[in-house]
Amino acid sequence: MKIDMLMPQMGESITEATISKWTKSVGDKVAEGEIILEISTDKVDSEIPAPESGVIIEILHTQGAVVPVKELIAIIDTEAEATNTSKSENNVIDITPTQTEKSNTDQNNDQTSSRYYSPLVKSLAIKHNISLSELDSVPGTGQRDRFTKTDFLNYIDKNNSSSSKQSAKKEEIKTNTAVKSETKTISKDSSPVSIPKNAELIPMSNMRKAVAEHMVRSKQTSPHVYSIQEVDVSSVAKWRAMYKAEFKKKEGFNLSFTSFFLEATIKALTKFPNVNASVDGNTIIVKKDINLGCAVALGNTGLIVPVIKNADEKNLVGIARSLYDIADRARNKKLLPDDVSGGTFTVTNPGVFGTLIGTPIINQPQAAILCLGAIEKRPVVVNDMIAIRERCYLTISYDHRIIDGSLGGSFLKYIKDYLENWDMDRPLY
Amino acid sequence: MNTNLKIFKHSSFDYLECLELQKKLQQEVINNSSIEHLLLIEHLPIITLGSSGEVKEVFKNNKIKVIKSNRGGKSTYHGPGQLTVYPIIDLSKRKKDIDLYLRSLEKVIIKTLSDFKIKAKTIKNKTGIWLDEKTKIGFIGVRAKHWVTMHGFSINLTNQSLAGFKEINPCGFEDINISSIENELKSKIDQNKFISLLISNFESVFFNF
Repeated sequence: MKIDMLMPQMGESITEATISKWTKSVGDKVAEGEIILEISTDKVDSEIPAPESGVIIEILHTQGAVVPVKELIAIIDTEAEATNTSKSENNVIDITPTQTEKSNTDQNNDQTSSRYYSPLVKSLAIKHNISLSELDSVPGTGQRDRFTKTDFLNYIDKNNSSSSKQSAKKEEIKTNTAVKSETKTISKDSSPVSIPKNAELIPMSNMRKAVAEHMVRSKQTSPHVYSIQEVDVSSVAKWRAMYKAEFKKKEGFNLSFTSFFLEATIKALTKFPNVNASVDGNTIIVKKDINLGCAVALGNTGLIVPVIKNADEKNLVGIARSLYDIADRARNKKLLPDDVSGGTFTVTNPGVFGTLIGTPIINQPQAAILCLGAIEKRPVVVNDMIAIRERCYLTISYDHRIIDGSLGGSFLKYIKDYLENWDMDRPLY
Repeated sequence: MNTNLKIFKHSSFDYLECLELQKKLQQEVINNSSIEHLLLIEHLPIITLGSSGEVKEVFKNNKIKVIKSNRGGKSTYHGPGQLTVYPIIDLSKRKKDIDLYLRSLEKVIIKTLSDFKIKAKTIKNKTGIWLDEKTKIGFIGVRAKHWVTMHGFSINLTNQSLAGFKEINPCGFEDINISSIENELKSKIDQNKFISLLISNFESVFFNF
């Protein structure tokens, strides 16, 4: 079958393009998705793939020609045999796996199959350590049932989804057994869900889509581990009560409990800098700046994490002011892009909703997140007597690729000790 | 919240070495576009000719290395004092429109210059960033494969960047002036702040925030 290849339209307002270079010639066999020509439009060079596999039997416009979009530029015969074995001479990237990808290839990765797969799909299969024979049974959705890149990414996504459901059945919290540090692909097309008759369909807002994608990706990226400790905040509560009125009068807003937790967190991050980190392949990136993200719920819309930059430069009052400012602007949709980028650690406070213990998802690309539980008065044993103390649970979720239990636990204990040993003689200003 | 964009900064970066890095990252994004990249580079001095650039645009007694690059556009200079930015992003996640991409890049640059009180503009059919009809301050040249971009744009931050342009007819123009932020403001700016705002504006335009 003969397939017409037309000059692609690279933009709504683009009416023509110049053929910079054919990277294949008449008589060459080409694969669907393989780059066969380069075109130029204003300030942009684009590499154009073959629409179908086959043999190029005619090239209608040569190098240098200016061709209107959607005009015929070549013809490909999908059933012809190649008469040309010329190699393409170009400085374009070929799509065979890189050396890094090849070194990750499982010895059992079988790249033979009777079904046609484009070089791009083959490259992805090697990268994800999947044999082509495994893909043979997966339907393709491309032209004439071709198995496309999207089909591959959907297949990966489904496989990841089913394996995470199996691990959720286990009773104890375990680290993820994944050893690859690279981020997995999030497919835009999730598995179809059957819709019951009695249901309301609500399209996701952009924020909700972003949150959803971020959360899924975070779980697929980081093996999450959780450590929980209970903290006695009675001294903090007492100190806060002493200065509450003075603070409100001077600053115009209340001194929140959260500010105290943020200060303790900053101290802990200074003491344990490896928690203020990210992972990049096999490299641990320890951030020198402490930019504290504070999760703010936005009702049903979603949530946002504005950042207090260089939080370690602030005292308690400074932290409180910054927290009030970003939370207020978040709720009034006045945050700037700079306010929500560059975070190195996040604190989330579902305790305000009564949650006793949370197990939050790490805010990528950070390595850990602290969760504040609700503060409650509880009876506890103090000096062999029952006392009523204000207490709460703190949870740290951390990435077990770079934070082990001892570091996570020590970090959390530092925060606990800091708050439980609050200096009652400390002045407000 | 944007956590899909990896930022890479490097000064005194060899152009060809950077080109190899871009190719590698572009292929990574083609394979998996959940992570994209923004490279913020200061190059060692070099003159590059884009696909429509010609050697005649470079003056004969030039002493700066000249190479043919695989980006669109004509000749330009990169070197100290100039910020070169290479977004490696997947346009198929946004809109498959190369022209819209160029316009969006221009928007990012103009907004950032505006944050520093410099009024810049675009001129129809003359892609790039202009201060007036004859004075250019920002340059754009891009390449795309499977709708994933590489190369990008450059902005002259200091007067140090201007000398290299004297060796060429930049972008093929014979009679234009080249300026820098320092030249316009008569003082140097905080480059870290400029970069920070540029990243924010880039995220704002390309990540729907």
